[in-house]
Amino acid sequence: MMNSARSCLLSLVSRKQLTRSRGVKHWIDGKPRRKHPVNPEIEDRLPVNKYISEGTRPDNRVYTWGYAELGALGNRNLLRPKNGKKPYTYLHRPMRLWFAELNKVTDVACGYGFTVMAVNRPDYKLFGCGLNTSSQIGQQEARAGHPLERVTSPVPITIPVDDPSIKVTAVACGRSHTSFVTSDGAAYTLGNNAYGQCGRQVLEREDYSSNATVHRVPVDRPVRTVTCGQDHTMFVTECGRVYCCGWGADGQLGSGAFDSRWQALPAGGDLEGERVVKVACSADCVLAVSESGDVFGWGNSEYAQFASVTEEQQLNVPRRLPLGVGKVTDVASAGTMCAVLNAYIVFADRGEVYVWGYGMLGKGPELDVSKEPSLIPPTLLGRNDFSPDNTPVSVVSGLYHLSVTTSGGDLFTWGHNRHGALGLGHTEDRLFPLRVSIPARVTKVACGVDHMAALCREYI
Amino acid sequence: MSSTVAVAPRRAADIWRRLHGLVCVFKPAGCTVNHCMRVLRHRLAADLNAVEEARYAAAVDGRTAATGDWAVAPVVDSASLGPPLAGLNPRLLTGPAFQPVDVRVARLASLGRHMSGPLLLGVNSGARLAAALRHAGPQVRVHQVTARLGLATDTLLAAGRPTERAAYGHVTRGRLEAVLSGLQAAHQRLMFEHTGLPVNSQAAYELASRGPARPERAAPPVIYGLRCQQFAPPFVTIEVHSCNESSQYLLTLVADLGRQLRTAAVTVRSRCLRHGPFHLEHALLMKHWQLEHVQRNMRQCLVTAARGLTAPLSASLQPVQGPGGGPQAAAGSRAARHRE
Repeated sequence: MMNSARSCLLSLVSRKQLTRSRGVKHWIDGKPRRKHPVNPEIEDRLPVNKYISEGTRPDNRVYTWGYAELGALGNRNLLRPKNGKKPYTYLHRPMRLWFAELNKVTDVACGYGFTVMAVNRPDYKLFGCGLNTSSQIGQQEARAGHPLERVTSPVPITIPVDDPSIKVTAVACGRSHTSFVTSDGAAYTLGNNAYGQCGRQVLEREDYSSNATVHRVPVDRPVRTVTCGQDHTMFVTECGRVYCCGWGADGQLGSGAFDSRWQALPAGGDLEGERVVKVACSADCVLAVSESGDVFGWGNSEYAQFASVTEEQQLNVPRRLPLGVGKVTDVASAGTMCAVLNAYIVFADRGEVYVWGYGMLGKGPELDVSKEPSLIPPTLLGRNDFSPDNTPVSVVSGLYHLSVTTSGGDLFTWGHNRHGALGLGHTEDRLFPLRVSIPARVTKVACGVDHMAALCREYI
Repeated sequence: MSSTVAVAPRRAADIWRRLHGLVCVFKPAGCTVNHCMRVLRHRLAADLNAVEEARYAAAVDGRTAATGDWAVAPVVDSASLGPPLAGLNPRLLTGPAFQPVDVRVARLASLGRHMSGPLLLGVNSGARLAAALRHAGPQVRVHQVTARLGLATDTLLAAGRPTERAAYGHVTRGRLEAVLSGLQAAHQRLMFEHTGLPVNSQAAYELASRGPARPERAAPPVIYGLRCQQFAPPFVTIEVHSCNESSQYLLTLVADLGRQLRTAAVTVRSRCLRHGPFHLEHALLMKHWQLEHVQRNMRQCLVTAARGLTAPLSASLQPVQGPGGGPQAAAGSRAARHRE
């Protein structure tokens, strides 16, 4: 009787009720049990809200995360927050970039502390943000004579392309230089040229801090894509040849010598007569994959990356790597680790990821060095009883970590977690692949040293 | 109340001594778990009392049949010494021997009021077992949730007071499945973070390599799988494989699904199909909550529990062969083919 009197009082005072769910108290609105049934006419009187139409198509999005202090994440509010909050040093989980909501971003690349995006716009084709001490994102001056060393929001990069119909099709970033390819097959570079990585002559005492030079690299064939290592650049032409320039002390130019050079010349060795589809390099170890699925390597091999063909610590001539994993469709090369993605014909395009090298290879703490490719269990990359068709489709590497995107739109990362670059919500290293929580389908990923960017597509 | 002459009548005390264990009952929609526990207690007590009544009645029948005189009061045989009142019907003196409060019933996991499905209850010593199993590790449950698109209510159930209507013509099966797969994948990382193992250990790596893992103990809900079983707008049926979920969590899940699909959604029906190794076939219907059936069910549960509840953390999850058949069966066989 006491209880009913108390509940009567409560019902007079407020409609909220205190409930306990899983040991946690919380208030729920309204009573769980009704005295009278609900009037069915209420539903008919409500207006019908229409949020999207049948013709609406999913939008593109860009998510960035990692080290924020240099402005590489493109979000000004992280560094100059409102309401007197502290600025972010790093962001350890993905955050949507407002810039991509207003602009159509088609490609993204991450360098060492800066990000460059290719945008489909008639006026500006290339945007960049982050570190700009070597003009790697163009000449950015708030007032004449005072170059900006750090740019916190994406700003346009002036490029010598007048035709509005020409688009930027590929972007790549190195330590302090950027390279991009346009739809007419031309390749351009900008930024630091101390070792000739921009494909132009090295000028003594050139000041790179406020340098407007955007150089068109003279390659005698139309260029299809470009990849930047730490201080060198590699252009892949339509016919599948690889032209290299820049720092070459580890043999990463594939020229047969250990000299640096500013002229972009084709790499020889086992690449003669091969059609290279993709080149991957984060530091000094270069991997290339041909149309026929063969993998070629040259450059640094201090961590047994090329142990299958040489005992030397450098390889200055491209050699075919007998990996024994079948036809390869994608390659990635981090500072000390290598990864390939194959396409098994037996199970109808089921891709498998193999890793080798030194470091956090992605197979737990016990495997930290491997000279031969080692398979990462498919269950770790999203394939299980509930998603039996989830297959890896691409492998991308930063300097200290690796990432894999799958056909289901998942992104898995592992490795050294500098400033939350893995995007897993903390700053601890991870020794096997874990999924990054992004509420969209990931289509392309770019990895830098301590930050990442992902091009995504909405579900609906 | 019948008893054959050849067989000695059962003693309720003997049955009571052995009435310990787990019982799997079917909780119908619309009643609470507490109500089911109360009903079970009352039925077991009533049945035990009925056994004693039958035994007394058989004894009375025997004695009066021997003397042939129904008017004679039963006489205590001097040879069988015992308490002075031993021959008299105890129910008339002290009341029924077994009270509902004597039967201890505890639940292993909860089901919401609006949900139906197998409910595991521990009887007498089984209550302690239920508590131990609950602390040992949560079980994976499979729910079949039917949602109605285009409506939002205050209680997140279709019977609640409507608060919003939204257009749902743009929702296609492909879009629904895309959102479901995204939601499902988002939970996979939680699995490994709640296993109780250090994430960077070799044990965690080996556990993760084997497939989906169960969380160590009560932790945030983890969804292992979401599948669209039926798509007939405005009604969609989704199969949810999850661990540590609550009824409110599943209601919120459906409401969030509606938001992600740019419409609204409420739950029409929520059926639990499986709780760990216990399926609907193991569950006892309310009309069968009687002593004999409960005893048989307890023996069955022992076997099922030994097989399933003590399975290691990374037991492989088998898709449920639901009444719909087809897609999940195919997926199951395909997964089995490639799991080797």
